Amino acid sequence: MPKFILNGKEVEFKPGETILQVAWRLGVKIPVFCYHPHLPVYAGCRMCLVEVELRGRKGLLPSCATQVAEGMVVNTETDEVRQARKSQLEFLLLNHPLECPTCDAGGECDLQNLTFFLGPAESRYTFKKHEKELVEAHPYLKLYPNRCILCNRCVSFYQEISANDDWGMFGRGHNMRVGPYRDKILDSEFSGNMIEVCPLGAITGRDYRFKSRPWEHKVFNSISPHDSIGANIKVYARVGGKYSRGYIIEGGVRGENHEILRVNMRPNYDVNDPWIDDRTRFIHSYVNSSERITEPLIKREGEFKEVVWDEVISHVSGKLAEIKEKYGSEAIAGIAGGRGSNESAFFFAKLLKDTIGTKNVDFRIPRRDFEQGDPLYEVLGSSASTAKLNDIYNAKNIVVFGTEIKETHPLVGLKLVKARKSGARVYYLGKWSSKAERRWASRIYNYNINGEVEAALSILKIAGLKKEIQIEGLDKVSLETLLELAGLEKEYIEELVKEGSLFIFDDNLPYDVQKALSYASTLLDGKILVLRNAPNGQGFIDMGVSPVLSNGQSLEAEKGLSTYGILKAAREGKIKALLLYNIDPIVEFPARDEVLEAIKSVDFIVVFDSFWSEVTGYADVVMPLTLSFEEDGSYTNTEGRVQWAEKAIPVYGMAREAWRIFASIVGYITGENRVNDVKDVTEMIINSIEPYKKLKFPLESKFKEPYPDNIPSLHNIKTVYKYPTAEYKLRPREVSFKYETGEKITDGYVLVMSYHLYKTVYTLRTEDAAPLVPLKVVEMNPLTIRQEGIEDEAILIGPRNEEYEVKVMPNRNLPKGVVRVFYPFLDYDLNSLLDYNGFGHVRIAQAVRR
Amino acid sequence: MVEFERILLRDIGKPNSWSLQTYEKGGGYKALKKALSTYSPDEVIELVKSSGLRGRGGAGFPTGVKWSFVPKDTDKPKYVVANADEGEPGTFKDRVILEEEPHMLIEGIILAAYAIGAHEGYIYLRKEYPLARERLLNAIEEARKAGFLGKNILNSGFDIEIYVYIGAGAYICGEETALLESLEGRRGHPRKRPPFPATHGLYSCPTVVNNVETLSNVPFIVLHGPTWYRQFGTEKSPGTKLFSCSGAIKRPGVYEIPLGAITLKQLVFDVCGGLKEGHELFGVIPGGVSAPVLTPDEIDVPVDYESIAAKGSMLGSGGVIVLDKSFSAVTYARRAAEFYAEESCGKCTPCREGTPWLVKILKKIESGEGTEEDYNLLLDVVKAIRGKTFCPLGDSAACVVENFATKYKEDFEALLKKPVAV
Amino acid sequence: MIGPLIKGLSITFKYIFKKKFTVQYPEERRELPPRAKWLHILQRHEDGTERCVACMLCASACPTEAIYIVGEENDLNNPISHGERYAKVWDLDLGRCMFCGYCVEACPEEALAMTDEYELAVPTKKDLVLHKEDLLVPPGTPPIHTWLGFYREEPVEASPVSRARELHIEFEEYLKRRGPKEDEI
Repeated sequence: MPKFILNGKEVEFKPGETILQVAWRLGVKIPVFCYHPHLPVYAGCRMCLVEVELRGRKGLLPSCATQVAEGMVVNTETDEVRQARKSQLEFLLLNHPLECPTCDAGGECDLQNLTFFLGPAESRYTFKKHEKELVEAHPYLKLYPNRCILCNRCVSFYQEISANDDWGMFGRGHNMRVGPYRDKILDSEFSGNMIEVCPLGAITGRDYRFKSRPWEHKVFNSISPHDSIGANIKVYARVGGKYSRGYIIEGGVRGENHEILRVNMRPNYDVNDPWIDDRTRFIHSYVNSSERITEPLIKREGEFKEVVWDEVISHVSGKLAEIKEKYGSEAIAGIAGGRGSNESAFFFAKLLKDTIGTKNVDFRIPRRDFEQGDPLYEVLGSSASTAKLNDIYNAKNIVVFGTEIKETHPLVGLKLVKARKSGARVYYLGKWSSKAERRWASRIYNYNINGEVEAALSILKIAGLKKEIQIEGLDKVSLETLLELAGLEKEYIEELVKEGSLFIFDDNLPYDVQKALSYASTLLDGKILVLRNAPNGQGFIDMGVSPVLSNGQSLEAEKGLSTYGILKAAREGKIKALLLYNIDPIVEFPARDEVLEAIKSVDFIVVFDSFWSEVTGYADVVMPLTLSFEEDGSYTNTEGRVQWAEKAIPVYGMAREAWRIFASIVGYITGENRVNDVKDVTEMIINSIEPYKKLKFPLESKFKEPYPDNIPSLHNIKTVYKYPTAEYKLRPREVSFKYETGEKITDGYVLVMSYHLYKTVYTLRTEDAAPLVPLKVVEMNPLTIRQEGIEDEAILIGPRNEEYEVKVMPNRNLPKGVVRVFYPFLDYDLNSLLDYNGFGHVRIAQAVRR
Repeated sequence: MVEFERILLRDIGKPNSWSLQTYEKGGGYKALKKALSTYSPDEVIELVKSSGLRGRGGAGFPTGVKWSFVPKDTDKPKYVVANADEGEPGTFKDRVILEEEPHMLIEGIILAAYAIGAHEGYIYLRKEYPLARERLLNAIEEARKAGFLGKNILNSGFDIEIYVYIGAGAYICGEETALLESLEGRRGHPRKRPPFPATHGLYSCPTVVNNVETLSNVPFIVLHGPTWYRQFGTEKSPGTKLFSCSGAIKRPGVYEIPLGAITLKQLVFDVCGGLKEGHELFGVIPGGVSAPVLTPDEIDVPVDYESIAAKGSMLGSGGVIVLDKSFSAVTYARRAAEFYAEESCGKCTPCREGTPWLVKILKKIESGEGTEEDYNLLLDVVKAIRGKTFCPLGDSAACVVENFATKYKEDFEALLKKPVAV
Repeated sequence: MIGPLIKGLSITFKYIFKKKFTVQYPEERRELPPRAKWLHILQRHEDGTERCVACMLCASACPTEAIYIVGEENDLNNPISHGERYAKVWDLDLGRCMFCGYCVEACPEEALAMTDEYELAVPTKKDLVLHKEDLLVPPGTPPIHTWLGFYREEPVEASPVSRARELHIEFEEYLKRRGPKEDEI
């Protein structure tokens, strides 16, 4: 290895390394402001100047931008260097207001720290300081330009990493400032990361602003509960009693001084790098929602009565045993929401499948075609992604199919941006496309609103043609017909079907789409990355919360009913008891009327949930559950990585962890010993679930990056975490298709169910998200809006002339004739207009102004 | 008065000097025809290299060497960029070429493109030259019609297209990497070097950025050969140079003078006719505001790169500013510092924060409020800026202020508040 | 034997005619020295807004963890304190406090001061926890200056840093005037 001299010592370096990297690696502290290890080098703050001597020339060079060369002599601690640092600090402090006591970053501010260690004690500046106006660019962000030292970190992140363009630098010289380009809410769903990359308190976040000091709270390692990427987060919580700072009281009840103050990222290079999305960062106050269920309740004579836990457990256990005896175990069914921990899912499956003996368990949406089984299992022999998240970086050709990544799995977008920038071809096929897709897609093709299946099948067909493989069941329909129905051109598809492609799609897509894309990937020696819509969807499948797969991803001997089947059977009166775990079918599923009918015709409904919702009104027993911040547990993300989340705050009211409740019921019915520790459940999972066999407890491992510890903004990224993945057995096989051209919607407006980043069952339970939640909103093409003469509000008229009053927002990206409605339907019951596939027909009328 | 042969300024004064007709009559595009028919690209680079032509934009880097840094074996497209963002105060030499002899520049660009194998040339023109833009666009149109631009020019199989890009009025965009950033449509911030533009320039592709005057020299070198070219100027700085002289002199204007042929004193007193009546010489800035000022005793120095550098100043862009005694050194320093504070791009700390501070201190001294402490602080701030900035702009600001403050210390002291005797 | 007795009594008699050291509390009260560190108060600006900006330095300096603060963002139209934050909760547990005065020293806003109010007995432990309302002085109360000017009557305008520097310069000048002491040479 080549060598150079650093502070009088000969040291080795790898070609391409900068002086700063080598110095930090060897523990030489060089201060920085604008340098951030995960951002492009800017070299503007001049704080990292070091003395470099090369070939007889000597001078101060920025160590962050200077690559080491053989024979260099570098000194980081000469008088000249120290003086240079001191002058940079003096320059930076010229116009920096000295308001550390009020500033939010006091205590974790790079400027404060470095001035303390290296800087001048007094300023020689006798003139008036600059004053710039406060900027509010986002409901969650506030920018104090006075404090800003123009290090460009936020702009680098915003423009280079998240590939957005509405935040940047203005003006030049001393009039330079950072800010948004227009008076609108920032486009990016990653804007919160700017708070963390900011070396001082110029950008502050709304949830944490002025509440606390960094040394006041305790930090817990957790996992994002919002999506199935499982972004690693740190939860900063104020814990413990009023006058006993610093430790958590075990088993205590939550008081007014228990509070989640903020959520920051936790670097994990396999999952989220050092970034998280705004939803994960800012939406956490739902844990204190007034809609939380606090007590276990039993409905007696039409009214809920508060009871103690033992009573409710024995009541439910007795009732379930009674129904099983009377109607057989098939009369009992369970639907889950896919939001709990692996431990809870494990016991949910155990309760229903082993203890009660029913296979009617599912957590997927009630699509009719999901009755056929699990599409991925059918093709791959395992219901899991074959790619890891980081395979996005390695893939040369990426096809994103049908998923609005920004709305459901925003972090995948960041990875796609990076992939595209490093030269990968990224194709997007969707019903429509927005600016979010244009950030990372090299080509975008929109298929017809209901041409999803045809688009996927034409990809498969072309893949088959390329490989000269006949696909059973598709020989009857010609490629041209498929393409015409999909509304795509042949060249488009031929261009994106390449050897070794990575297909990315979500698990709410039609059965045939998932099957076709998985099969296409096996034909092309490519990979798939399935984005589970349920936050712990992969975990729930692995634990056996599925009508076709038992725990450990093996096929059930006898198929149970899928969600659709359960609801249908319930309507027919075949289901006598229904366990609803973390889901409200009435507001979370389309086809509200049919779901409601099904719910009404079940005799005994047990709701396990954290929030009051519509279905709790029909429940016979309601049990309060803890949320992920209130319990320990493991979560499997969409790529199969098993990650551990710590309990951050005491439970709310009488709520209990779901696994504890299910285990109690199991224990009550079978007489087995109760499990009391979550780690015992994790051990049970590791021992009994095949793909998890190689995991070891504790799951987490970590290593340290060599960043100096006197720079607070690098503290968060210093410790990097790693989690192991489950290993799925893949047995790809040939599959056949049954394709029939179905009837297609032609006239009227098509109602399409879709997702919104800020409209989830969590965001609707907190005021914090209010400015961004599209409440009672549908989106339409502005041309259509003008054509219909709608102003702001409109009335949607269903086929039976029922009327729904909604706000109409323009969205240029939507095709004409499409009305986009957002899941979940807590604010409007438009889901009664939708069929099980998420489509519906409406007419539109202008709302009468009152 | 001394007279020299005019090479670059040969067509000046002729009617329609900007037209293709006039240019061709004077021997225009002959070099291009010669190069395309007889020389290989490498030979053109070799010619320029042996002519010893140095960049006329300010730094004086040998042009041929710069061209030879462009990698030969690369799939990336290459570019030639003419830096016509003449922002240096006191410099207006390129304007004459751009407005009066645009074809000379175009021929230079084509030759440079041919030499490095580029097929696209850009002219980054400052917004303040609307006439130049008009004439450049006309000239490009004329050249295209005459077959000097476009596909397969002069049946040689070589393609070249030239585009004119109008800057937005930032001084920093005269710095070559900031110019490239601006050309790409970003903020005009300098880039870090290395990598140099020769390998990673416009859109990260190999790029040659040359001053307008430098490129205009190329046709003559190619046409007449390096030996002919070397008859002008000195051994280390061959060729002629345009000097734009301004200030309180009798005949301000652009003069073409072989490098080192006369002294700066001769330039001011003979060529430019000396100072206006009633004005007394205070100092001469030899190379645009960024060059340190030379006092009247120092100006007896030949006008070439080395001799002036030996005096602690630089020839720079050849913008000779003659300062007279109607203002104090503090005012001159303040005006210069104000310019730099206004034009600082804001990327690096010392320049962004330091230059306005200099202005404030100088203003304080100018208004008679300053003390000895302020004077020392001024020198301290200069020291804190110098050698620590991202690009030479901050260095220049510090250098200029320091020069005025040290060379004319008595001017400063005259304005300082005397400590009151106790 | 009588010797020591007389010796002992002589001390007693010596003190009979001197001024008495003990006072008849609570009828009589002793005057406390100006630096007496008893009950804390939260001070106000002259315009009536609170001085405390919830910087939490006092809570961090407190060795017994007796102070508990929750900050909150100021409504800029109707600010409670200067700056953007104020203390929503400012609690002091006198049961834990040991009157060391670190909190006063840490306060960068001169918001916290200690008074000579030393009668702090309360009937229950719960009453020992004093809240912001109990500690905040009414508007218009003359301020107690705590920044290095502990003994000074007049208000201190300058920041503590520059005041410290001033004092330092004064001292240096004094040294210069005085000239070196013999043993220092």
